[in-house]
Amino acid sequence: MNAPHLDDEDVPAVTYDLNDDSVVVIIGSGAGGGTMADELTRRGIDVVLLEAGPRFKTSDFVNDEWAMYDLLTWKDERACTGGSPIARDYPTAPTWTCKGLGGTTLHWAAMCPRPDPYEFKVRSTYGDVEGAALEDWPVDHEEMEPFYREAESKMGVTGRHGIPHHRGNNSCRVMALGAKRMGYRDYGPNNVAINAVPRDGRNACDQIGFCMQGCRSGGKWSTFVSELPRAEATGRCEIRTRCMALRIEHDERGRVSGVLYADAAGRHHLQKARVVCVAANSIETARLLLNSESSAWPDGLANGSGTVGRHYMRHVTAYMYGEFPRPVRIYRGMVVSGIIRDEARHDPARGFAGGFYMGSMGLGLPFFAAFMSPGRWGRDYAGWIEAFERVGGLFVNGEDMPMASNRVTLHPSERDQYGLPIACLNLDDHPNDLAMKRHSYRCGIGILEAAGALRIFCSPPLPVSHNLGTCRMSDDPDAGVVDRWGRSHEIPNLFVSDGSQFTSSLAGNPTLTIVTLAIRQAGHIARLMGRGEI
Amino acid sequence: MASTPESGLDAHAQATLTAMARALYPHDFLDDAPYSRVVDIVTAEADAAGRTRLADGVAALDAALERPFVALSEKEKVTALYAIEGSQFFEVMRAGTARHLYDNRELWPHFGYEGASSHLGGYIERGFDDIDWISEDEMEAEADR
Repeated sequence: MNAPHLDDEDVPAVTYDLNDDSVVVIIGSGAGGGTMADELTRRGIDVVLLEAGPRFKTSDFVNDEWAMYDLLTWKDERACTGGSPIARDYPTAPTWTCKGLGGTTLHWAAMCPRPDPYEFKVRSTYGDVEGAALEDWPVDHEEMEPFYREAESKMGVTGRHGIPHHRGNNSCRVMALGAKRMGYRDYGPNNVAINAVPRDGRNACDQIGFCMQGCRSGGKWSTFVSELPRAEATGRCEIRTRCMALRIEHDERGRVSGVLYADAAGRHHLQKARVVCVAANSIETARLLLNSESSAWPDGLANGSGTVGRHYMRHVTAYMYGEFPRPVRIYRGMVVSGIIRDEARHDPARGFAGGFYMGSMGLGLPFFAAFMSPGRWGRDYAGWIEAFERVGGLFVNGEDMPMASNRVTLHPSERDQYGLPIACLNLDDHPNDLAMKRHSYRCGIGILEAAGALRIFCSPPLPVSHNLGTCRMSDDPDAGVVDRWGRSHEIPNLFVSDGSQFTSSLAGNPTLTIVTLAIRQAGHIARLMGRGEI
Repeated sequence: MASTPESGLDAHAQATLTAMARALYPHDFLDDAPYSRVVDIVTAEADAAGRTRLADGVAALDAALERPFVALSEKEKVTALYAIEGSQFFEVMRAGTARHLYDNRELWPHFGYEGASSHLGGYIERGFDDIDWISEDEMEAEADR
């Protein structure tokens, strides 16, 4: 029985039969799934990759913020409850992830801060934080280090391993001026997976701007430009786009046996599997497991611990704009050109646990007007929009406290186009998050004023692309969903291969760590398969 | 003001919603045409219920201060808008104006925005780092180390 290929853009180098139970099925093609496809196929393992969205062409990526929002965004409805401003401002669209081959790496801004060793041992470092479900990661930095190096090299992270930095753009220069005058020491051009010079088959960045709208030059790392073409070139990877995973099936031995999915025409197929790797981004990964309930796992597949969907984390984020007397033109060049690392440390004297990064911002007029403050209107707000050319911006990305009540659940009544319950997010801010945010506003306002800002605008949080923690990694099968390898504690041939594994959010952007974990996990899967253990 | 064929609204409704769009995001250097265009788009996006809501919204704006909204001063228009803020009609018009007014590339030069750049080779040779009000010493030392 041949699987259908309904997306015209899919010209498979290889096809696998739906009944072929020797393949690894990967669900999702972003940083986790795309990396898994590359790492498994280069080890000679056959892969069927299911991607819910279409296969784009680079020529589809245009320099137009709203057009690309409409093209790339995962728009299936989600619900959001809780005390976070996100539940108020974006009740049906609390996140900003992508639907398409390459996943949210199409949209990411390519920031690659490397976590500090303490960030894997947050419980030991911070102690008990009331109301937070803090745990140490079962892995430590030393164990992760070689895989970080590999990931940074694969992704071409600037400022690492001799890979040259970019020259800072105007937005970075304003940030650096303020940082210097504030006495910061560890700041400058950002470590980004964007080529300053051609490397690894990727072009150099042309400082176009629009990093988050698909990257037209191909200078930005994504699984769309790097890992997925490489995986397909091995002849061991069949990519099926517009194929939405609905349910993971298991056999009577309690092993996963296949994935039920809907193709572009809505027809259902069951692809058998030797191993299943779920990498659908933290919300869809949890939703898929919860929707895969059975008599053996009545609360959701691999959810004997009851932790699937819990400990959902984002990051503490803040956005600040300063109006300067003269032009900055923050839309020119790369979106996150500059970075300040001085506050990315644990220093309880600041009144909170964990740390945060501050970066220079770039964006265009349409998004500046729409997202500077959703709901705001009037002459004062219009005056800020008129100042666009003279505005400099900073954003904050900091560690988010895990809370058991921040979670993804299945909506009791709302159904999606496949008839499945939609994801419902509950989001409350932990007091530590709020204390960190207050401190970050003080820092950011200080930087912008030191650089000469005439007035400051502080924005509420945006729907985020960093969705983490819903299948927490833990050594204790009662405290988490997966083990130190991202392998289900309960189902030996089921793996979680995306940011859902994160035990804590880390201070910085998650993609580098998602890729690092996937590289490490792929090697482990290959070893287990080689030994016949799965 | 004449009704526009795009929106299909009557002239009074078109004028009222255009005035509302301007009062929401007032820019004195713009004439009414881009605000009227926003009304065309919002109307085109509305289904039958949405069109009824727009018509009811026009009536609510006229009722707010018991005078036609278009005849109010800017300050009075703001007062009338506060009276209906939070209604579905208000939010459709506010969000629609915030999106479509600033997504009109003909207006971008007024706001100092240059839009798409990839067809021009990006800004790598066209001023991504050309800020001229930070001293060269400070810039070289701090942004490029």
